[in-house]
Amino acid sequence: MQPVPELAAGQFAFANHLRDPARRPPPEGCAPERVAVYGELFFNNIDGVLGDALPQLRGQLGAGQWQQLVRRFYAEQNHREPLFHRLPGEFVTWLAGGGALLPLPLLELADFEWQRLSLSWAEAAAVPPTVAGGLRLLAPQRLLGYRYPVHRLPGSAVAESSWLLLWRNRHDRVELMELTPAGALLLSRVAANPSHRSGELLAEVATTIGHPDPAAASAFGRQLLVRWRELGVIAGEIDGGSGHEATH
Amino acid sequence: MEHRHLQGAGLGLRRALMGALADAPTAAIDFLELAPENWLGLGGYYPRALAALGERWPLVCHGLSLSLGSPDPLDGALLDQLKGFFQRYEVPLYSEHLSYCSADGHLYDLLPLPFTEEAVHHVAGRIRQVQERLERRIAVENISAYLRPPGTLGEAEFICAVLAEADCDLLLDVNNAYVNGVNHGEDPVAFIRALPPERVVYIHVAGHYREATDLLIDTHGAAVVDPVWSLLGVAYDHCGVRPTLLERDFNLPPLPQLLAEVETIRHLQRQGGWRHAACA
Repeated sequence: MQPVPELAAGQFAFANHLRDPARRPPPEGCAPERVAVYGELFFNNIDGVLGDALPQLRGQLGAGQWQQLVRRFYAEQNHREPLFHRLPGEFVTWLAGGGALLPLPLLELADFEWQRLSLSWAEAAAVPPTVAGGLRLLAPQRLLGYRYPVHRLPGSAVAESSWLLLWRNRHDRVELMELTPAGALLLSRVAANPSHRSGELLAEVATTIGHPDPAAASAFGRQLLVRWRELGVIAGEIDGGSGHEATH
Repeated sequence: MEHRHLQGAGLGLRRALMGALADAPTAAIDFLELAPENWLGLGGYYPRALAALGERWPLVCHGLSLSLGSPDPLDGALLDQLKGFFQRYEVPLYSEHLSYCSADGHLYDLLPLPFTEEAVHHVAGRIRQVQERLERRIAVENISAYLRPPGTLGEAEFICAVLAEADCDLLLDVNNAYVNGVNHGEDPVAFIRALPPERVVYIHVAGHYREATDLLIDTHGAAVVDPVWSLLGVAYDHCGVRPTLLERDFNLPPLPQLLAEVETIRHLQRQGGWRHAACA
């Protein structure tokens, strides 16, 4: 009979071999061709989970580079995350941390794909309480700033800054709206100031961006607030304009 | 709800099946089973849709990531999340795999424990801790394996020792018994008959992939094969009829095809019930 290795030692040896088959020897006393079965199942499983979540990144990298990245992610990391659907987020964090030296357009693409996917199932944060006369965020949403046009030309190396609003609509579908820098500033002011009236927020944004015609800027911003409220992105009261706007 | 009230034939719940299940006749299925790790931490559509399904069918949970046999510490945060999930969806039965899927971090795959006394004590101690923390009895499942790490016990002997020491129940996966029979040249009928009938509270059947004549992969991606249906009959003869689940995770056919397999389970359950009554 073969010698029986100590339990934990045998388990660490097997696991380390699966994570890094090139550098870690297979576990002792096991048929190599059957160890290879586990190696293949293990890799295909991870490859599938990450590739299904980040199809555009995988497409941009090509099969060879993609698989190398997935291998390195596993060889270098010890994953404590028990939920499969969060694993691509760990991969994206590892990429952003410089683990793979990917160019910025691809790092941003990976982030965008993950933000869009994870927003589709994210638990909704508690909606802030309504403050009379104020505005608040309503739908689960992410405000994202990128230096490359990840949403229109995935992987493009031609810089073109963009502000993207992703939100989950009333039918639980993720929608996207491209914002101007002023629009992004306005939304972030709504998030930060639930007690401010819309008129105050609009005036503050017009001042901050140094718009030559503050009244026109405020009118434009007001249209944006109305549109966001129609879409369920925000809720609350919007000052002025023609007629009374219903509040949610 | 407790598992002694669970009966009949169930279907594994995949997200891709949710639309079809919403329109399926309730009487076609007796319960659904899901992997809680695929549903924890989800918002929006998923918890609402799951709650709606839970109004129509009992939701059994079959865990993936607890890693009962692991050398890593038990994940207390995961256990607490599981406990909350079971309460929220009134889960009548929770099972996990008699294996490990992590060692210095997760591997997201089920690895076979060596069949040794050391492994019996290790995994049984952890199962006891899990049962205490969850404040419920759990069932452990015999897994499919593609290799046998060096050990000193047979699989049935190992399982019996774990069940006795941990004081837990068994989820008998008859497809895994068949797969292991082929992969290791063992006798699945003898394996099933060596298990303690009173501890078998729940049964799985599934399809597999034939990679070679001596290597079957437990994919849950094909229809159940005839030898596995025969083993389900063997299991009913040995243990009595138990609530039984059809697992199907990949290559999902239209729901009616799955319901036909669920109906085959019910047919075998009626036959098994008659045989068991005749023997009693």
